[in-house]
Amino acid sequence: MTALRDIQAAFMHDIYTGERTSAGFLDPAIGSSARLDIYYNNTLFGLTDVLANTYSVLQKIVGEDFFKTIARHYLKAHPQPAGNRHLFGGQLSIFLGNFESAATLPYLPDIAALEWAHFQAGIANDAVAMDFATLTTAMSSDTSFVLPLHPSVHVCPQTFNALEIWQEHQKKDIGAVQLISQPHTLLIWRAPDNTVLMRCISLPFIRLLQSCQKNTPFVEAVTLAGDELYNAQGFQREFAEAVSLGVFAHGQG
Amino acid sequence: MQNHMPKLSGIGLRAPHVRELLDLKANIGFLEAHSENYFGGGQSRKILKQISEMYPVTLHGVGLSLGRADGLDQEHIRQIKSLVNEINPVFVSEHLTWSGYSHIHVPDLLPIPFINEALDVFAAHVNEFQDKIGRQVLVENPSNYLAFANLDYTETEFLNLLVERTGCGLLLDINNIAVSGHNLGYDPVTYIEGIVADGRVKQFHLAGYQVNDLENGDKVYLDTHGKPVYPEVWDLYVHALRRFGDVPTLIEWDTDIPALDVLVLEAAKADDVRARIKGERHDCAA
Repeated sequence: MTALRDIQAAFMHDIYTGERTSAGFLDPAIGSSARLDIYYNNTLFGLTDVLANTYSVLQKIVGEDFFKTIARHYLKAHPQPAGNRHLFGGQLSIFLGNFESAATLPYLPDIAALEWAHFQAGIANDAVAMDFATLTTAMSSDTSFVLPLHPSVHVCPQTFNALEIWQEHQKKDIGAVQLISQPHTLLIWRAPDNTVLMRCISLPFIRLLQSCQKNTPFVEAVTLAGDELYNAQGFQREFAEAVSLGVFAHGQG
Repeated sequence: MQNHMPKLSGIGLRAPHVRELLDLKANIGFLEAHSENYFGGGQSRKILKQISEMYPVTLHGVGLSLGRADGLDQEHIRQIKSLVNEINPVFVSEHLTWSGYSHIHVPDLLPIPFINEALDVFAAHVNEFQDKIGRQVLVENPSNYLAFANLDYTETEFLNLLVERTGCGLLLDINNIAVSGHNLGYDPVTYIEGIVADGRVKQFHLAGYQVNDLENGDKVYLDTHGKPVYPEVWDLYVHALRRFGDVPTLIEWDTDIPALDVLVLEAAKADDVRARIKGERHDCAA
């Protein structure tokens, strides 16, 4: 390793752990070693703020103090992965599922998954939404036509009624919500007017989205979506609403 | 908005002021947007586009980590390039710092050890970044809280050599000079005089700091951007204007953000100082 790599590796280690392994590289004349704590604290508070910004409902549910505890443990297990801070925090749902101190709140992973998808949908790249006229033309002229999803689309499996809890926490006066074990899947995406929408979706529609994600030709994707319980009318309604609300794209905006 | 050099001083673009800035044309020279806040798309990006149609905008990066030893993040550069193409900023700036190494990053600006290897790495990264976005980049001096041992250069020597190797410009943060001067024990005026005055300084930053006591009794000056500009920083600003001439100036205020009027007044104060020093120069020439 070069000198610069040695310095940066040791410095980064210290910032995430609070240790002082980089002290040997520092100028002792001005007490530089003790000042490593400034960078340690900046990182701790800075990343806690990033998480609080993304997971505001989670913070409301557990309170600021416990949220700080979660953040402190999380950032050591999953440091900021890129210079773009918006990419920090994506593993929190999985982390909470294994975080013993939060075991009495089994719905927290659902809330975290929902909030992450909601945040990411809000900042995903722009794309022009697919419209019915373009879709009809494409389908009739090209049997191998692939229907791309809007870059903001997230398919989010849930175990509890987290959406209901999340919606209650958007209110000024938060009421009680009964926790219900209710496995389902949410579709979370950004509509053409830039609002982020969330909908519970059916199993055939989940299969359609998964096929679209894999660039399966649209005609084949529709066939794959059906099963013995397939409700053709319901599926068509679901698909039509999704097209009208910008779930599918036909090019980068 | 035309990509022209703003005559009046600017302020940072902050969320609480967006509505007001869009509803009325504030009397400011430009707005500085933190590049990373507008990566991707959606409502924030749309608002920045609207803002850039009303005001000149500068893009100021805080996460590219030009000083990292292990190569730049190409997706980060692509995102900045996309913003540059869409917004047409007056300036694109980054910091003389690093913030990521080996897939681990921090939301902070970390100090560079001023050694030969760091200069080679930093210059190569500035060249790569400028080539890829097709623009000159301004590099800002950071606020430092500690210093490395066994250095090859002072910070000003490092900056001067960086400009010579890359053709980048400099964004001199006057508050950072004062803060680092206190923390590292150097004279801020000597620092300003150490930067070559040949037009390479393209922009100034002004801000407020905070003084904290460490557990060991040490006093540390923190670059918090949460207070008005201190008198000693205004004095240094005068010194910098006399040395480097009149260049666009920005008031940075990121924490405890006050009403827009307060920031506009602080920017107007910078304009008054600029006008006074410009007058002095004309008097001397006459």
